[in-house]
Amino acid sequence: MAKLVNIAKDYSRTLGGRWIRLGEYSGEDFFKTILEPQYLQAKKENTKLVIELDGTTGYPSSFLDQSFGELARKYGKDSVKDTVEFKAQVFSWVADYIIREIWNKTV
Amino acid sequence: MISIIICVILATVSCLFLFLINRRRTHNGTIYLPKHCILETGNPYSVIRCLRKIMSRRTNDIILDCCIVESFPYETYITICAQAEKAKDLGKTVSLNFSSTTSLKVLRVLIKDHKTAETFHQHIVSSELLFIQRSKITPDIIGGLSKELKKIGIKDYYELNTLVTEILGNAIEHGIRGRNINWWMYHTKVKGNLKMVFVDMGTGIISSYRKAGIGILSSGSNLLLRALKGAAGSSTKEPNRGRGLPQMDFMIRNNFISNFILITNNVTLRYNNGEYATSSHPNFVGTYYSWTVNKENFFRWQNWLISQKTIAEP
Repeated sequence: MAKLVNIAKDYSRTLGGRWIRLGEYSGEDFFKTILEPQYLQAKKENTKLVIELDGTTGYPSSFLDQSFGELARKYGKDSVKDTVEFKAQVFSWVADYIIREIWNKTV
Repeated sequence: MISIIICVILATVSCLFLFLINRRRTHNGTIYLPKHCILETGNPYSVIRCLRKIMSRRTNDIILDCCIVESFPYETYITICAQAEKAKDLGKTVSLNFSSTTSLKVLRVLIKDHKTAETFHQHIVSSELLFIQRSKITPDIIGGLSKELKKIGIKDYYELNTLVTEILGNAIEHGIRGRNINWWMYHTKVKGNLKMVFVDMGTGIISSYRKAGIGILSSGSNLLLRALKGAAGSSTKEPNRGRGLPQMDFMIRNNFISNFILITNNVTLRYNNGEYATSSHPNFVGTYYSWTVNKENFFRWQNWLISQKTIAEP
């Protein structure tokens, strides 16, 4: 059974910048406290990690890079693309942005 | 012969008198603010010169004399507040002097807007203030902005929320980090528009790039335009960084925001009639952004969003 993370409910409706030192709910903090542990758990259980994007007040690009981008840099974009799926009505363009502008450009 | 001697003596005394007055003016802490203390329109030279004097005067007691000031918009006011805060970190105190009738009228306008305007050092955190000053990004900033946008009929302007977070992140990371100063933000409603102003008196965008060894041979204007297009990369030199300014450029060019002005280091950048225009001036050590948002901007963004969904799901 897929693991589910709803960012607005499980983390915060309002997201911050890139680094923890910039303030609350940063991409770095989200990566460390939620995304990486959940990703590793999903890999261990050989299941999908579904990220629900709707419900927040927006996704700063630096937040996305320091969370989802960092995941691809650390564990490889192919592995991450195989495991992580996005669910979004309102923020479908954010899912496209993560895949197209962050993951596909990750070396 | 005697009359010539008297004339020479009088001329010498007059010159000495004028010299002493001038010397007093330039060596004490009094700085005379210009008649029109406006950063955004015309030539910001006179305001920038006063900002520089706050830092360069050798005395610790700076008085900003407003005796000839007739116009003093709030966005200039918070910029001077931000500079006064930076000066305070050097042990200086900055005060305002509104002694003339005209300047008292200006003061009354300022006080009406902002009840704690007597000096620049009373950085009292209160919900009554029109401006916010912080050293970090906190969720209530976007929450407060969303409330203001709702008042002019705009709801869920996600792109604007993220732009604000990116700007503040840049201000902290490249401007105020390691210094005992804040970024400053101000917004006000004007005839269906929300005007937004952000100021940090950190390093400035152009200086940040040059300190990183980027664009040393480019002019400030050219470097700034390249940074907005994403062509200058990031001053951190990391390939996945430097996304904030291109996002801003995208929003400006698509008219998701209007009346854009950026003042940083020796360049002022404006976006008018589909084009960027730059002008040069003395170094404004910091970064100043200003723009307006209205329903038309918001609808443009919504239409763009719908078009993106249509492309993704043909």
